[in-house]
Amino acid sequence: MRLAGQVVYLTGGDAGLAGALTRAGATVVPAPPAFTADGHVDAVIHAALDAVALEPRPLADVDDARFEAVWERGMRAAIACCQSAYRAFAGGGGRIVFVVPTVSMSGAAGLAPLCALLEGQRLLAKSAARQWGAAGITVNVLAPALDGFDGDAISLAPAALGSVDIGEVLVGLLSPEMQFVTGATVGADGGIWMSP
Amino acid sequence: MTALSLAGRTAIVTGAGQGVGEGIARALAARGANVVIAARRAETGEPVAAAIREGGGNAFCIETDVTKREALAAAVSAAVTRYGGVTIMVHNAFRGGLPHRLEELDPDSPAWRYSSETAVWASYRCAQEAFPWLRSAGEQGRLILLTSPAGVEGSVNLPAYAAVKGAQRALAKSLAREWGPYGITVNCIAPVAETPSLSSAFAHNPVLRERLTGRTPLGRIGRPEEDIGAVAAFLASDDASYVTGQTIVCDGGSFMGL
Repeated sequence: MRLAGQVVYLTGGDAGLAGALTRAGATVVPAPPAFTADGHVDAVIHAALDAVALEPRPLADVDDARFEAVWERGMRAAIACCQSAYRAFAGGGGRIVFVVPTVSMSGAAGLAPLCALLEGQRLLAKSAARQWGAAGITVNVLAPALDGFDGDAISLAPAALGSVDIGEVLVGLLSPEMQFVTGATVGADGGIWMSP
Repeated sequence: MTALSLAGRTAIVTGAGQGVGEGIARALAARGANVVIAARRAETGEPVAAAIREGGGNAFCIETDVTKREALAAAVSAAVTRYGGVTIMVHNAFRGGLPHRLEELDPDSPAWRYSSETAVWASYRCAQEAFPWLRSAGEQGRLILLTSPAGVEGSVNLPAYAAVKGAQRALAKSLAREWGPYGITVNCIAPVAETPSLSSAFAHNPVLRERLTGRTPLGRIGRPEEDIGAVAAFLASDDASYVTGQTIVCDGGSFMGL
């Protein structure tokens, strides 16, 4: 029970994330990106992603409404989530984890607005880590594979591992041993994208 | 003709009325490119265009607010009318970069809105408006986005700036993959250069220059034309035909990434 007694707010994400956290002893509270916490919060996980962002489309065919929905609303949600977390930690420190698929770093044809959003979030996480370190807040990125995109689709090598339970990786990232890790991106896409 | 010659090619450079944009415009023109000075204000853009023409180059200025799609479309159409096409689109214009605390960032404030509009929205619109012409230019087609070291390493004072500059890098990588089949390359330059905005920052905070040069192995701040413009000219040239999806950090070695 590595996260016994911890309260973790989770935006979006699949049952796998919530299940792993619960198995590790955490109380999981599903939340929208802009939330007001009820009581103590140890960690906030931002995994929410609008389905429209995942629809592939050449950039030439993207209209402003779609770009607004993916980039602008996605970033505003990420900013709101950071701010909600900051308020929820109430000066006592805490952990923030963004779930950002590795296409943010590899790029992907047909998904330029999504990739812009994801990399915007990843940089927001780094800056938040730099700004809020003194407040005892760590901010990291958990980078899974994007569903439906194997290495071949983004001209990278296929995954080295057949499958990855990213919920388990998230539990590891939230565990006490990781308290000095901040601003980091932990790749958990099975080894498709490997950092330089 | 040298390998760097850009004769016969046409570049649009946004934010070319000053700083890095001006340096890039001058460097491209010096290598023979026709250059459209897409400046927000004609009073800064016209003198740059005039100076290029006086030096024997081809340039004209068109007032361009990069937050307006119709203004970008007009710049592209003016380039096509005057020079017959667009080979190289350089999006450099940026407004924003105001220091802030992330916990206090209002998404409707200039700190976010200007950053998002001029960096990300304008990159998307520049890419869309230029695309038909870049595709016609085939293997000479270039999209170059000006980003920042902050878009790689994050920023303690400028979270919004770092986020939008990072987003531009991912846009470039995705478009490099998407447009590769046409021969178009898409790259970013992340400069540190002596620009009016940096100079005013130095004026407000004199120790900043020392701090910045102190952490720069080459010991000086970049020059817009010679240091940054030359890299843009390289990326625009045939010499860089096989380079795409990359960010060239052009900062005297201050940030070393890989």
